[in-house]
Amino acid sequence: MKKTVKNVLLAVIVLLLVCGGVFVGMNWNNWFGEKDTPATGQVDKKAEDWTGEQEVYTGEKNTDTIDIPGFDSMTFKADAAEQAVNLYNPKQNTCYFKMSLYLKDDTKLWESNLVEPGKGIYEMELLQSLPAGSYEDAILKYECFAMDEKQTPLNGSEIKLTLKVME
Amino acid sequence: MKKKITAGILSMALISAMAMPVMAEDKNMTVLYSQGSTYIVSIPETTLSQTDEVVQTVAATAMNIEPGKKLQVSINGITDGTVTLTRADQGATTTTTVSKGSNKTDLITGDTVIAEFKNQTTKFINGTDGKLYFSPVEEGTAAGNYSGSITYTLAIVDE
Repeated sequence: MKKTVKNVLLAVIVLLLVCGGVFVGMNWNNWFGEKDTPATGQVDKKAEDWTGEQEVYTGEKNTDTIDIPGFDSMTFKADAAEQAVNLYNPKQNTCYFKMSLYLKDDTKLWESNLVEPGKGIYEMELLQSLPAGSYEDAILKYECFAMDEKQTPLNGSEIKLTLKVME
Repeated sequence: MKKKITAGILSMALISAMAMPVMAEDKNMTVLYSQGSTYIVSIPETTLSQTDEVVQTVAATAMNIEPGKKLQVSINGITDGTVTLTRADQGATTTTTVSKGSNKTDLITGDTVIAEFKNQTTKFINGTDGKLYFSPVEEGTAAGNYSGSITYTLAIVDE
């Protein structure tokens, strides 16, 4: 009996020592490790509440030129005529944009009316929906017109891109 | 002797328990993001008639092209550098010649690359400078203001 009690006591002591070791190990760094000194700085009193992008100086715009935005691809939803897009006429331009979209085989998919500088198009309705797939060498055409009564045609641009049509 | 053995076993148990917390395995997570190439290219607004050679430049104002690709700018639908200009009243036409060099040197065709860009810089690459030289209009052109339009082709291609 005495021997059994002794053994049980021994087991309890071993268990306590193991738990104690785990506890010491987990807190070793906190008790004896090097404490990081937090970096401190001064609060900038000129900062004000941020309300979004502000206009910044980007140099004088050459009014004899037209800025053409381009990209390598557009993503469309398969088998749907209504599409979400992000096409725009940069606000620094001084001409109208007429934008249109074609497949490589000259099939017209969409055409806009005249878009003023600073305006954009976020939705388009395709003349025909497209099945899922990748349509390389599609063309986004920019026709530019003077903002006068005659709407004289100006230089334009064609952007080659890939239409990624997804389910 | 028994006490020494017992003390040794207990010490080993204490030391091994302290070592356990440092054997934790790090787990990594992969985050994926894809950014498409975008750019803004500045093209001349119009091509006007003139009696002296005129230089116009195609340039870039913003560029973000993925590695291994470049943006090429060329002119669409031109043969042997000939550009037709039409008088404002549509009553007459004349022609000018567009080239990459002065005095009709290196005439522009549909395949001629006039500017190339890559990465996030608006600097020209591969010896291009974006310059277009328009020759004086042909002799005997009827009086009046003439203008023509050119279509610039922009394409991202492999380097």
